[in-house]
Amino acid sequence: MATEQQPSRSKNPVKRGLAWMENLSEEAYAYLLLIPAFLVLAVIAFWPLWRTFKLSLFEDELFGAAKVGDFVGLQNYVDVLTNQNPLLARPLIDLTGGTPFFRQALLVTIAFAVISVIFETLIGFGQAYIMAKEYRGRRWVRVAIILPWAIPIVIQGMLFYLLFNPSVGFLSGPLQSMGIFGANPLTDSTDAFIITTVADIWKTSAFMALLILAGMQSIDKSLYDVAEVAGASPWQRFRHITLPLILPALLVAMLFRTIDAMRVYGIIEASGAGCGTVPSLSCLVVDTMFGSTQAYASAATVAFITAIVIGIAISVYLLALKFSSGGTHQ
Amino acid sequence: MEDQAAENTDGRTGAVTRRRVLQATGVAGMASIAGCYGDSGSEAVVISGNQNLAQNLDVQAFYDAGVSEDIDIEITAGPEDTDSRSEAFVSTLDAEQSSPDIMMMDNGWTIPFISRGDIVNLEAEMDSSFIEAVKADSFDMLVQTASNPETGDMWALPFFPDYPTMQYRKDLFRDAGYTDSDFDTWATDPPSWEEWSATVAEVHEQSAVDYGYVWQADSYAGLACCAFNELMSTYGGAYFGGTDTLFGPVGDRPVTVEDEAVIESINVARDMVYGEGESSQDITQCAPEEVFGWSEPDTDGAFVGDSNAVAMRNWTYTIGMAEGDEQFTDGEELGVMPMPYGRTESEVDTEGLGGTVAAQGGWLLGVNPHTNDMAETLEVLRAVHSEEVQAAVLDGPGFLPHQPDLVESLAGDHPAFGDYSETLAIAGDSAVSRPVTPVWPQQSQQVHQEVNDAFQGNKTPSEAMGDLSTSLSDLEDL
Repeated sequence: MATEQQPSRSKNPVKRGLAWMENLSEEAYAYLLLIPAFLVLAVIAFWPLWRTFKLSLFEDELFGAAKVGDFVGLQNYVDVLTNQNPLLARPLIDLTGGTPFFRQALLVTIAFAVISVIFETLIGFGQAYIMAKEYRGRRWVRVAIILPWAIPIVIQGMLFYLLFNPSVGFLSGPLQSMGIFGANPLTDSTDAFIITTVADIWKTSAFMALLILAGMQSIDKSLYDVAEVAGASPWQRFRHITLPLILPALLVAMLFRTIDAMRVYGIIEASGAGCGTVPSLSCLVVDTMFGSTQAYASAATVAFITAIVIGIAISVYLLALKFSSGGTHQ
Repeated sequence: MEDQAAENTDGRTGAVTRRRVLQATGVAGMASIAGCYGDSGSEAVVISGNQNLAQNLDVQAFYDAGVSEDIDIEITAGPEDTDSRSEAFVSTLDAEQSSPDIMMMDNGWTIPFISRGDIVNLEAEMDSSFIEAVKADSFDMLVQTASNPETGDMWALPFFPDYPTMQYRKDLFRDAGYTDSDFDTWATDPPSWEEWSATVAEVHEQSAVDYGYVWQADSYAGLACCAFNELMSTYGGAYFGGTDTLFGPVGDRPVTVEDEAVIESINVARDMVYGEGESSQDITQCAPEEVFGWSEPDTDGAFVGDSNAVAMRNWTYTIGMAEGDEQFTDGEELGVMPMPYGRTESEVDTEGLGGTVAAQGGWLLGVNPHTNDMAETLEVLRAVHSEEVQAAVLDGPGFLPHQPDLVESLAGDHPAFGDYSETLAIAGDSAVSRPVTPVWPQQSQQVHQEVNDAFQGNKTPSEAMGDLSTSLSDLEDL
C-alpha cells in the first residue's frame, strides 16, 4: 500500500523561496514577474525625473568644473516662467507680449500639439475609411497611405527642406507669390512653424489611421445593417455607432500622438528650420543643456516643466477615457 | 514517485514549471546584459577630425616628425557641423569615454571647455620649452583662443587658422572689362564696400549667373562669430567696446551693439540685398535675399558647385575646392582678395578696427583627460607643431599652417594657395576674433537671432540692437 508522503519542509532558503513561488496564485505570480519591469521603469523613468527636478533647484555654474552652483529652490522656475533667465535662447513664455507668439517655446509646443493632433485625427479618420472599404487595388492604396509613416524623420525633414529652400525648392516661389510665405520661409518663425506642422501631419496621419482602422474593424457589422434598415443616415450611423465604439481606441491614439507632439524636436532640426526659428520645449532643453555653455539647471527646469505639461495633457485624456468608458458600459 | 518539480500544492501541473521560467528568464537576462560591458576604447591614438582630415591627411607625417612607430594613429571624422561637434565632445567628456584621445575643437568654443576644466591643461602636462615655442611661433589670436583667459595657460594646441576672403569669378570680371591689373591691385589692396558692391552688380548684370555676391547671413553661430563680426568691425563697431575686451573681463566691459557703427553695418547688409539706401554709404544691391537663410554649404554650392555666382565670402577651404580637379573646369577662373572695407582705420575711433577685416577662425586640438595613454597622446600632439605635419595638413586636407612663417614658406608653393599667399597673409594680419568667454555661446545665440531679424526686416536695426544690448548685458551679469 502506497503511503502518502507529506512534502518535507526544506530549511534551504532558496528551496523555500521556490516552493513559495510555486504556491502563489496566478495573479500574484504575474505581479511577481512584473517586478523586474517595474524596477527597470523606476531606474530609467522615475529616478531620472527625480534627478532632473533636483538639478532644477540649483543655480547654473558657467565658470567652473561643477555642473551646478548653489541651491536656489524654485527660483529657476520663477525666472523661466517670467522670462528672466538670459541663458535660454528663446523665452519659455513671455507674458509681457514682447515676444512674438511663435518664438515662445511653451506656446509653440502647445499650438503644434493641438493643431497637429486635430488634423491628424481628422485626416486619419478619412484614411481609415478608405482603407476599410473593399475595392480593387486596396492593397496599394494602403501602402500609399502608410508610406509616410515609414519614412525616417531625417528623410522627412530633408524632403520638406528641399521643398521650401528658396534656391532648390519648387514650392517657396509660388507660395511667396501668393503671399502665403515670405522669401525664406524656413527662416521665418511663423512660416517655419506651418511647414513643420504640415510635415508632421503628413507623416503621422497614417499612424492615427491605423489605430482608427483597428477600432473600426472591431465593430460588429450587423449594427450597421440594423441601423440602415432602421433608416439611419451615414452621419447618424457614424455618430451613434462608429464614434462611440471607437472612442476609447481613438482617445488612446490621440494620447500617444499628443505626448509625441509635445516632444517635437527632430522634424524642426531636420527640416532646416532649426530650434532658433521654431523653438519647442525640447529644443530649449537641448540648446541649453548641450551647447558649449552647459546650463544644466536651466535645462533641467525647462525639462521638468515639459514633463508637467505632458502630465497635464495625459490627465485630460485619462479623464476623457474614464467618461467615455462609463458611457459605453451600460 | 511523482516529480515534485512538476506539481505544486494546488495540484497544477505543466510541462514548464515556474522554476524553469525563472531560470530561463534569469539566464537570458544575464546573457543580454553581459554583452553591454567591455572597453570600447581603441588601442590607437584617435584624433577626431573632420571628413576632409580623415580622408586626406597622411599619418606618415607624424612618424616623419619623430612619433614612435609603435604608436598607431587613427584619424576619425566627427560631426561636420561645429555646433554638433561641440555637443558630441560634451557628451563624450561627460561620459568619461577614453576615445577620442585628441579632439579637433573650434577656436570659437574651446574656452568654455577650458573654464570647466574638461580638457587637459597642456601647460601643466608638457615641457615649458615646447609650450613657449608654440606660443611664440603660432598666430597670436589662435593662441589666445586656446588659453585660459584668467591664467594665460595654454590648454589646447593651435591646429590650423582660417580666414574668410572674398573669392570671385575672374572670368566673369574679364568679360565685363576688368583686367589683371585690377585683380592684382585687389589682391593686396581691396576696394571699399561701396566700390565692390557696385562692381559686383555691374558684372552680375552682364553675366548669365543667377547670383551676384553670396555670403552666409543665416541665423546661426557663423553669423555672430564671423560674417557679421567682420562686417561690423570694418565699420568700427564691436560687441564689447573693442579688441581689448574680446576675452573679458565678463561683466566689467561695455556692451556697444547700439553704437552707430553697428547699426550702419546692418543697414549696409540690408542695402546689399534690398538696395533701399538705408545706410549712409552708396551701397549697390548685389546679393540675393536667399543669403539670409544660407550658411557655408549653400554658398559653396552656389559659387563653387554650380558656378552660379559672381563672388562669395568664404573660408580658405573653398579656395582648395575651386582649384581642385573637379571644380571650375569649364573656363571658370578664381580670384581671391581680402575682404572689402567699410571705413578706413583712420576713419574709426577704435584701435584695431576699420580697414579690411577677416574673422579669426581656426581649429585647435584638445586632449581628452580620460585617454588610455596620456604619454602616447601627448607625443602625437607634439608632432602636430612640426613642419612635417603642418606641411601634410596643407598638402592633403588643404588647411593652412598655424605658424605665420610656415604660411609664407609652405603655402607659397602650394598648387591651390600659392597664388594667394600674400592675400592670405593680409587676411591673417587683419583677423579679429569673436569674443570667446564662457558666456559667449549664449550671447552668440542672441546675436545671430537679433541680427538676422534686423537683416530680414522683422525688427528695425535699432530695435534689434536694443533687445540685443539687454540680452548681452543680462548674460554679462551672470
